[in-house]
Amino acid sequence: MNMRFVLRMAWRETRATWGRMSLFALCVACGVGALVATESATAHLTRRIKQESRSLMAGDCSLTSRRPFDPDLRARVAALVAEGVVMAETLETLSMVASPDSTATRLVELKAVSPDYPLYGRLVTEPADAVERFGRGGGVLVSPSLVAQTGLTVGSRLTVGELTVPIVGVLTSEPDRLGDSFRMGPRVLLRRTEMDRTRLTGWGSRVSYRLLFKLPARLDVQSVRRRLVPDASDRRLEFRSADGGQPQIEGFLNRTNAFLNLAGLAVMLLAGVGIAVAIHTFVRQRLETMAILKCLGATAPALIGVYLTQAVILGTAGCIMGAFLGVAMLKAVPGLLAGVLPFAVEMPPIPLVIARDVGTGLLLTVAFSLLPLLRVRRVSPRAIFNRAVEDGTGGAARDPAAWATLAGLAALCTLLTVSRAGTMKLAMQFLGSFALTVVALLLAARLLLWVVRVVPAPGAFTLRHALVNLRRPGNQTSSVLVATGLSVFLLQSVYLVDTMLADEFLLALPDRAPNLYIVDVQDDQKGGVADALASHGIQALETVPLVRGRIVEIGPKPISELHPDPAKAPWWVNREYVLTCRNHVGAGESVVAGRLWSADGPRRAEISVETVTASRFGLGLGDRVTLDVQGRRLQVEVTSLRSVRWGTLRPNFFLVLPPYLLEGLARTHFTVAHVGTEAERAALQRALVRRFPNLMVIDISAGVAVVRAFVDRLSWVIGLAALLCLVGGLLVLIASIVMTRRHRTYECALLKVHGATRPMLVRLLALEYLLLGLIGGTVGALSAWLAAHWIATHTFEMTLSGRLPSVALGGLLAGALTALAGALASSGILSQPPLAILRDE
Amino acid sequence: MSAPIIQLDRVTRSVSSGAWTLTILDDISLAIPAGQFVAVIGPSGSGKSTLLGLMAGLDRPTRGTVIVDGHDLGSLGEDEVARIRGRTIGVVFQSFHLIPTLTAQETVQVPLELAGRTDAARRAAQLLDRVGLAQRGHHHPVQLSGGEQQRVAIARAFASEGSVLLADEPTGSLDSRSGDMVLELLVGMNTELHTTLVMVTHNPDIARRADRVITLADGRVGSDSLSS
Repeated sequence: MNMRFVLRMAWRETRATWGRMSLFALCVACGVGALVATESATAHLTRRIKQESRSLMAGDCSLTSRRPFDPDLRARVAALVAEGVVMAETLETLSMVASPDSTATRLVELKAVSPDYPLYGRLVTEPADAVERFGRGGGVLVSPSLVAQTGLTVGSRLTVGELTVPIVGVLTSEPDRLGDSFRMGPRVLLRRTEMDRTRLTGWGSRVSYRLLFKLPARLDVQSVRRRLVPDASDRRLEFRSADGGQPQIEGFLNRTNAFLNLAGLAVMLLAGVGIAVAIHTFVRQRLETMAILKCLGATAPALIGVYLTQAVILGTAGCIMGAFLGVAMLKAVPGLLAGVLPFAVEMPPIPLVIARDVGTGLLLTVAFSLLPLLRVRRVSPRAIFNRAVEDGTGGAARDPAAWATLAGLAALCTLLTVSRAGTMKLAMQFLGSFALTVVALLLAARLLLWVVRVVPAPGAFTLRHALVNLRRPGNQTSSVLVATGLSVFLLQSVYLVDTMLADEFLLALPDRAPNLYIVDVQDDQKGGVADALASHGIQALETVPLVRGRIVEIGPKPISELHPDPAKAPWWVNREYVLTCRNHVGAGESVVAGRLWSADGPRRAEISVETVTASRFGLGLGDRVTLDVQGRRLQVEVTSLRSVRWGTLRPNFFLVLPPYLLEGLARTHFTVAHVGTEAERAALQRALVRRFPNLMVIDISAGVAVVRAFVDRLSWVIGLAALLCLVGGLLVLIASIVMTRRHRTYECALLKVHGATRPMLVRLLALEYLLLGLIGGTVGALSAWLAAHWIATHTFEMTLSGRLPSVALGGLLAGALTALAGALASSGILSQPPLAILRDE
Repeated sequence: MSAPIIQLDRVTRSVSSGAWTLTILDDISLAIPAGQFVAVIGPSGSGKSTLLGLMAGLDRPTRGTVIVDGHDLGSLGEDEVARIRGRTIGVVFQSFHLIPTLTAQETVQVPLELAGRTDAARRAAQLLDRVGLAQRGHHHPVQLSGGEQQRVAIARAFASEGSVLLADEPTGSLDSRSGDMVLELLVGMNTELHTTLVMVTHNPDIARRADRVITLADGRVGSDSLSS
């Protein structure tokens, strides 16, 4: 191949088509920008979490138990301490606190700490010297939210259980606590030695005991693990290392990372489609040039080289623009994440990530360009004599090079998706739904063209010509359908994920949603609690009995056979389930298979199982399950499956039994109520706790507000991803319209010559795009709904109910937007005088 | 007489569409010696342009062989034929077929660059000077008249210094004055550079200036005569 010719010709073609092909570069810029922004942001977040992991744990490793540590374990710990391990101890529990000086009562998260706590990081207080005073004993530190909610200040006294102590300072930062988000109440920190005096750690209290360790360099975490927990199957002890990370934070972060990375990749793939559309149309417009060059002796590889070089020149320009765009977007991320994470994250550009994403952008540019460029080989120079150059589209299906390129492109996309999705399953779901949507859109385009061909043309001029335009030679039906459909697919997918999160995270609660939980109501307290509520003019929304139990057999098989190694079993296998009994379907629930028993029906040993739990255990109607409830074995048959919306704040359960099965068992009750104002809730809290000191009365409105604020932030991030998809989609759409502009200009000029008016032509163009937008939008929206439904059920184990009307509306809106974009992008065509256009042709 | 540089042996070219087959050229055999100026005349649809396309390797015969400068074009791949065309054959079209995005200078440079010539720019400038367009090198096709465009096309056709020049009604789209100028250039440069010129034309005056006139009728050679 003559490289001098290739380079010179590529430069000449780039120079001549720069205006039209700038959209190509913009597509690349959009894709690379999305890649750089998302990958850099996730890299920064992951690195920062790793950096913070020791502080977040306040030690190198920790051991947690729900019971006091037994003497054997204490002896093992003592041996480690003798070898230079530094140890700190914490106890955590929920408790109501009151002030003897005021009427303030609050549920708090109480934490007692030994003198060495924290082993990493530090306590930050207001005033700063409060830490020393706290260390000397005789006072507690409280989080700012308690001060704000109760009006108590430094110096005020606080009663914790049977202990009354002064507040010595306000705790503004605690290393292993991520702010007050997702918390049951404000923090109260006291000395470990003072905990016993509260008498809150007696029998029946729910205390979490934790030992934190700081290891000398010669000891590694795994050896310490083996010495502390010799029996790996011992589920009473939970060992964690800082290197193992913070499962909850990392779980959340991994999902967010995967979502953002996939959103970025989706935009890049959308841009790839834009690149393919642009090159496809460009090649069609340059067929005559190619035929001439072939007449002059240019070979097919040389011509492919010319146009591939042009794609690389434009792609490089796009990649550079994209890198700047990505860095600019990256600057906005810390602001979006402010308040979501317990530490500030700076987001400087990462050169390695930028270089990699620019490389990815270029690679995808070449890969997506190559497929349409292969047609160059099939352009015959003889067509120049006929003055109608063939478009070279025929024979692609039998072209091994085309199939090889397609396979390479698929492999490249798979590789990129797997590296970004984190798991093969999610990657396959993402790519599969993306590829299936493209196939569905191409089939829809074929079907549309077939219908237009076989159905007799309507009489109305504009409609007839709009339909004829769809199937004219060199039409843009497929490209506009794919562009519109894919954009709608991605936008709707993002929207559905957003609404799924909103459902899950309480954004769509009714006005009278529960805001007060009353926990641990004993049988003999039920009437008194109802009376107390009634005296405040409140009626409980619901009171449900609770017992705890484990699943011990599925059918004839013990649960231990399903997962022989308890250490590797998923969390849902051996957990203690909270069960209830009732004769009706709960709020936010619906029976999706079988029937729930009725109060007056026959007494059968049966159970209703939530759908996701049923699929985890492989349970269906008629299957038998054995439960262990307080030592009583209950063998029951699954007679109904329930779908549950967990975000309603109502008590919902994985397992529900008929009431008669729990008769005679010790149980507590859980009451939920809606109480109008914060003052009314506080008054009710005080009244209840005074009368029934064992109760936990939780005002969840603050927690809900925190979660809502959090999801709101997350929605911003999701919105950013949606915006990227929209911009990418619009670019592809405009690219495909602008690329066919010359052809349409000529047609419009001819129609004008024969008497068509401008309003008529506007209607004609708008109608053509409306048809394409409607079909593309509907196919894209339906694909998104199916994909989101599949991913929700099989990956996130969430339910996606309804939403079809809004999805359909999305399709309609896409149609209208496409019509508008089509008419606007074509507007310049109509203002040109026809004679000049015809002379140019 | 020198050895033939173009040789057609029992060449047939037909196209099929569904049930029917149209034979454009039917069993044609020709031998054109190097340096000869051949005019191909005949009514529209007689197969003149198809014959020229076969000689240029732009099309393949249905039957028979086309040999140009010793190469059997029908037995070679498309890219190999393109390389031979780049070295040996120049083509001039009735509708010029200039690349709209290239200037006149660049247009003439293209075949030279394809041949790997390092002096492409200098040689292109010489050729443009030869066709009287030295001052128009930086102009694009839309900025040139029809006659000027065809002169650029002639310069391009001679650029590769091939031994064969094929012209398909080169004056068909031009007024008589521009047509005369283009014809003079073609014939003059053909003589100067000792190329073989095969020209399809409707114009009997042009045919009279040729060394040999082949008349096509219904895809067959009606007459083949040498000028006196």
